[in-house]
Amino acid sequence: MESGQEIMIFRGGWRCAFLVSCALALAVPALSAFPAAAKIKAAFDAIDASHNGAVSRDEWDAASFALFRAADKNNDNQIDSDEINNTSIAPDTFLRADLNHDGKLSVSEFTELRRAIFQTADIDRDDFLSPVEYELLIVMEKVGWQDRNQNGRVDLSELSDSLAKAFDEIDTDHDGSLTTVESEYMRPAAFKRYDTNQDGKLTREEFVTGYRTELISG
Amino acid sequence: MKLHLSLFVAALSLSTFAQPVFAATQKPEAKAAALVAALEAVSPDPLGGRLGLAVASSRSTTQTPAATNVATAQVSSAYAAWKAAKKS
Repeated sequence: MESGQEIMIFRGGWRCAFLVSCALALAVPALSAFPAAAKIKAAFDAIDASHNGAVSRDEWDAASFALFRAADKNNDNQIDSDEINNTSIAPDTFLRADLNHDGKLSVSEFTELRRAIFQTADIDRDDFLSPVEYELLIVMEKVGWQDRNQNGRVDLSELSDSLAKAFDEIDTDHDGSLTTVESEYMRPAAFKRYDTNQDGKLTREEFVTGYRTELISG
Repeated sequence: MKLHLSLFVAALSLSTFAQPVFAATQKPEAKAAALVAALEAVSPDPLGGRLGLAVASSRSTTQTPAATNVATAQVSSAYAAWKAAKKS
């Protein structure tokens, strides 16, 4: 009888552990949809070889070359279909980036698209990516942006809509405000600055206004 | 015994003097690998995920063949220079 009870308790424990694991498995992707601020800063600092706090076009190209070289396993200056399968490049992006439709990505095709991404992320159009622009680039990689006029750039008129769209995706519990956990990708100092009423949460208005102000004022 | 000691000293000296040489040759490649790891930690898709797809979609309709040829030559040459710098 005792061993039977122990088995029941044991089974109950495993069931409980299983349920907790399932809950965590469901919860974790929602929390980790965006990388943590420290990782974004580390990536920014790695690209910013001159350590002047801004990423130039040349530094961006150097990063693009390093990414291309890493994907080009056989070092033939092309990323072929086998090599593509070892990357996380989206198939649709590959088809559009492959301008000559030869089923491979040359270093030029790869870098030209990366340059276009730089241009899109350079919202204030000063030919440098600042930490806030790079942070938004990471966000836009996950949520896209509202390119209403289809010019491949984030115009200031489109910025508010793009930020509001991003807010809705970052607000994983859909309560209309962002906690520090939901916005763990954000630079902590920026979170505090955007949180104008200092309640420890960002409303949609604080989020949009905070980013807009920082991007426009430089 | 003296021979063993001499060999040991020679091996130690060689490894001491060779280390900076190996470090110098590995440094650019190690730096590039660290850069790639840092970027992949925040952007698994090197072509920009949903942003890259949107950019590629808007871009493919606006590029001219002549502009593409010039860009191809420039990028290829810049990449060759970058690769050479990583090896040196």
